[in-house]
Amino acid sequence: MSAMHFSRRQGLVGGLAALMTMALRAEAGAEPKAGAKAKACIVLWLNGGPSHVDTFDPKPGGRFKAIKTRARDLWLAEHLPRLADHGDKLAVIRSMTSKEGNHDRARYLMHTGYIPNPTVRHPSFGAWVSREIGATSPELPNFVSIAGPSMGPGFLGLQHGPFIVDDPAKKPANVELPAAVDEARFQRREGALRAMEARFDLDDPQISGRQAVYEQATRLMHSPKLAVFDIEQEPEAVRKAYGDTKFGRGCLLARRLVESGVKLVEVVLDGWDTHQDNFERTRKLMGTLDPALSSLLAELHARKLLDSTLVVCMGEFGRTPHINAKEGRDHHPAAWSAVLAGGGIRGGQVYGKTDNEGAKVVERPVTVPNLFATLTTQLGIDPHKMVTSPIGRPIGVTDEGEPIRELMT
Amino acid sequence: MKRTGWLVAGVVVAAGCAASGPVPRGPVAASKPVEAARPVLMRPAEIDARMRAAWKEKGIEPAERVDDAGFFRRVNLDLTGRVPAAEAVEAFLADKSADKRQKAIDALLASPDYAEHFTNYWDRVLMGRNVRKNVDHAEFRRWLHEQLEKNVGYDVWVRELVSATGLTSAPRMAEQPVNGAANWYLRYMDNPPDLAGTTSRLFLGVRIQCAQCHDHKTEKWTMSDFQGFTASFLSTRARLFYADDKDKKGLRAYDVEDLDRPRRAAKRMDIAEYKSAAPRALDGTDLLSGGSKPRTALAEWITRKDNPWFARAIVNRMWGVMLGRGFSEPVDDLRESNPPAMKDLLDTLASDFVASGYDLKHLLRLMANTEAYQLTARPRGQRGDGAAWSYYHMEQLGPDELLDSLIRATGLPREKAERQFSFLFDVDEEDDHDDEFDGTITQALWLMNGKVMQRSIQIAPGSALAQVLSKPGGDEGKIRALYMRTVSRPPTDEETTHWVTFLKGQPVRQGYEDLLWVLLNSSEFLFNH
Repeated sequence: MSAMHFSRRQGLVGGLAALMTMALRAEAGAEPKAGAKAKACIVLWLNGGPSHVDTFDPKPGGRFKAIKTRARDLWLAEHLPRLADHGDKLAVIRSMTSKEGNHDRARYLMHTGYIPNPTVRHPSFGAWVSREIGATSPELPNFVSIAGPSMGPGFLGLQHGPFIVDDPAKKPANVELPAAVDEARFQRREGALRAMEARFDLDDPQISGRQAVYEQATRLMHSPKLAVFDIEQEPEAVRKAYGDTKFGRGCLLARRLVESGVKLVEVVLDGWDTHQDNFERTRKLMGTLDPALSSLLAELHARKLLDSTLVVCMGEFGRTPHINAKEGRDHHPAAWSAVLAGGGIRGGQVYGKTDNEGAKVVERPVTVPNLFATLTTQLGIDPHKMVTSPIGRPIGVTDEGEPIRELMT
Repeated sequence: MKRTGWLVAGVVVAAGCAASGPVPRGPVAASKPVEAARPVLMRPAEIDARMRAAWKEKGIEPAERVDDAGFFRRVNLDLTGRVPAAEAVEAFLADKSADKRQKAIDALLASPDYAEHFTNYWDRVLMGRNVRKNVDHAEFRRWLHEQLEKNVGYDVWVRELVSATGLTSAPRMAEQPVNGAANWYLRYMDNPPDLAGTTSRLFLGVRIQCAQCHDHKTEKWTMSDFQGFTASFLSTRARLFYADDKDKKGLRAYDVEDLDRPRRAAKRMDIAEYKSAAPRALDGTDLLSGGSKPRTALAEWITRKDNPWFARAIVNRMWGVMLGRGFSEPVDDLRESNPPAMKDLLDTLASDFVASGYDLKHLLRLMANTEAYQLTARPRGQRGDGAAWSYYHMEQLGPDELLDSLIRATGLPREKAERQFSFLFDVDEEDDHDDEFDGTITQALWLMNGKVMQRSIQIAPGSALAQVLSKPGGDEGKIRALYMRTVSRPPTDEETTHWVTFLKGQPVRQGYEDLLWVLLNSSEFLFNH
C-alpha cells in the first residue's frame, strides 16, 4: 500500500481531518448486507427511451418479427437473436409505467427513483449503492459510469458520485504520475497539500467532501487494481464477442470492474430517441446491444458471478405505438419494458403485459419506486430506510417503493 | 446605451403569487400592490437594516466582516468569474480609502470582464453545455455579450430573446443581417413544450412544465395552463434559409419567423394536444386578442411592469448568484409551496429593480455592497436554510470560473487549456447546479496529474512561474507573489517559514513547481469563499 491518505498514516493533521475520517467511517458499511442476494449491480442505460414494441415487447404484425427464446412465454424482436439464447436468465417487465414524458424528468426519475422535486437533490441509485454497501476506503471507486452522462450523488456528497470513464478502450485519464514526478516527489507534494488544507480553517462539509474525493483519487492512482481498466488484457475472442463498439467494450469493462469489487457500474448506449427513422435506428442499436448484453450474461454465468450480480437494462420511457410522419415514434411513458437478470432475480419470466398495441399496461403495472425497491432489496438495502438530508429532511432510499416478490428467486 | 427608465409612475409588483393563499386568477392588475415605486432607488443600508432585524428575531449572531483580501477575491469571482490579478490585489490592499470596497465593485461592473462572465453565465443557463447541431453558438454569445456590455434593460433583452425572429447564422450565399437571439428558438424548434417550460421556469420562476402530463393535486398549475402557454410557441417556425448548399459542412442558417396560424406539426402526436389550446399567459391573459403574434404577445406579457413574477424571478436568481442561496431555492422555483425566506425584502428588491429600469448592474451593485455579502464564510451558529445569510455561503468554482482562474493565475494559453477541459464537467444539460457536476474523482486526477496542470506549473515563456522566478530577491518575495496570484492574499509568517524550509534542499525549479501545484490544488483556491 503506497497510497497516501489525507488523514491517516501521517498522523492526524488537525481537527478537521480527524472529523472527516470519522464522518466517512461512520457513514458506510463495507460488508455485504445480510439477506443480500446481489453484491453488485450493472445498469445498461438505453438513453433516449427505447421503443418497447420493437425490442422487448414485440406485437403481432409489428415491423420486426418476434422470435422464440429459451423462456416459453418470452418472445423478443428478431434483432436480438443472441439474447434469445439467454431467455431463461431474463425477467422482462413489460408493464413499466410513469407519467414523465420529458427526457430530463424521466431520466431523473429512472436514475433516482423520484420525480424531480426542486427542494431536494435526490441521490442517484449508484450513489445510494456506494453509500450503503460500498467499501469505506475503496481502491477502486464504488460507483463507475462508462460512456455517460450519469447522475450525481445529490445530497449524499461528492464522495458518492460516479467515477466517469469516457472511453472504455483507454485507461482512465490522469491516473499516472507525470513523467517528471516520481513517487517520492508526489508524496512531498501530498504532505505539503495536507498542511495547506489544515491551515484553511473553514469548517464546511463541502471541503471535507472534496478532501475525501482527493483521497479516493490518490488511492486509485496507487492501486494495483488499476489494470482492471485495461480491457486489452482480455483475449481477442472475448473482446470480439461483446462487439467492436464503445458500448460492447463498456460492458466488458463492467464485468471486469464488478469482479474487482466495484459495486455499481452504469454503461450508457445513447441514441434511442427515435422521433425519426425509428426502425432503421432501433435495428442498428439492437445490433450493438445484442452481442454486448448476451456476452455479459454468458460470461457472468460462466464465472459464477451471475447469482451475485444484478443486471438491469432499461431506458427512461417507451415509445408510441403510433408511427409519425417521419417514420418515427414519440415519447410514451404510459408503458415500457425493463429487463432484469442475475442477482437473485427469477429468470425465464415475463412480468406484466401491455395491450395489443403496446399503448397501455393491462396487467400488473410496475411503478418506478417499486422497481427501485426490488433492486435495492436484492442488494440488501432496505427500500424503506430513511436518511436525513443536510437541511434536516428525512428522505427514503426509495419513494415508498415496495419490492416485487414474484421477480425474485 | 444605458436606458434611463428610472421611475415610471405607479410601478407595481403585485404580491400574492409566491406564497400565502390562493392566487386570484384573472388580470394581474387586480392583485394587491406591494408598494409604489419610489423616486429614490434602494440603498444597501436598507437591506442591512432588514437583515439585522431578521438575525435579531432569530437570535442569530452574524459572522464577522470578511477581511479586505477575502472580499476582493470573492467580488472578483462573483462579478467577473475569475480570481483577481496579483497586482490588483496589491493595489487594493494598499488603498487606504474608506470607500475602497464600493469603488472596487464599481470598477468590476465597468470592466469588460463583467460582460464576459455574465455571457458565460447566461449562456450556460439558456443553452446549457450540450448545444444542438445548427445552433450558432458564437452568434448567440455575441448577441448576449452585447446586451450585457451595453447594460441593456433586462426586460428589453428578454423580450427580444423570447420573440426573436430572423437569421440564426450568417448564410454563405448572401449578405444578410443575423439575429443571434433567434438561436434560442432554434435550440428548441422540435420541442415547443420544452421551450414553453423553460421560458416559464427561467424568466418567471414558475415550473409550469410539471403539469405537462397530468395535474398535481397540490400544485396550482394545470395541464390546461401548460397547454395554453405552450400554444404561444406553435405559430413559430425555423426554416433552412438556403437549401442550395446541402453539402455544406457545419452550420446552416435558419430563418425564424412567426406565422399567422399554428404550423403544421406534421401529425406529431405529442404536439397535437397543444394545437387545440388557445395561447394564454399564466394569469389567463388571452394572447391572441391584441393583434400581435402570440409569441410576441407572450414576450410583452412576460416583461410587463405589472407582471408579478418577472422581476421577482431575476432578483431571486441574482441574490442566489451573489449570496449563495436565493430567497427561494432552487432559484427558478417560486411556487407557493416553496415560499421565499424574507418575502418582504424580495418584494422590495423586485419593485426597486423595476424602478431602476431593469438595471442588472444596479441590482448586483446593491447586493455586493450589503453587509451580508461581506461576511466571512465562518458561521457563528446555525448553518443552512434557517441561517438567513448570516455567513457567506462558499461554493466550489464552476467550470468556467476554474478555467478562467487557472489561466489568470498561471498565464497558461487559453486554447491549450480549453481543449482538455470540457470532458471534466459532465454537466446536466438543464442543470443550474454547478456544485453538482459529476466525475469529481476525475476532476481531482485532472488537477493533480493532468496536462493542463503540468503546463500551469512549468517554467515557460510567459508562465507565472517564469515571471516570479525572474524577479530579484529571496524566496520570501517569490512565495508571496505566488500566493497573491492564486489564493489572492499574502502568506502568513508561519506559511512563509514553512515554504522556505520546504524549498531548501531541493532543486529550485522543482521546489517552486511543487509549491504552485499545492496552491492550485488547495481548497482555498478551488472554492469561492
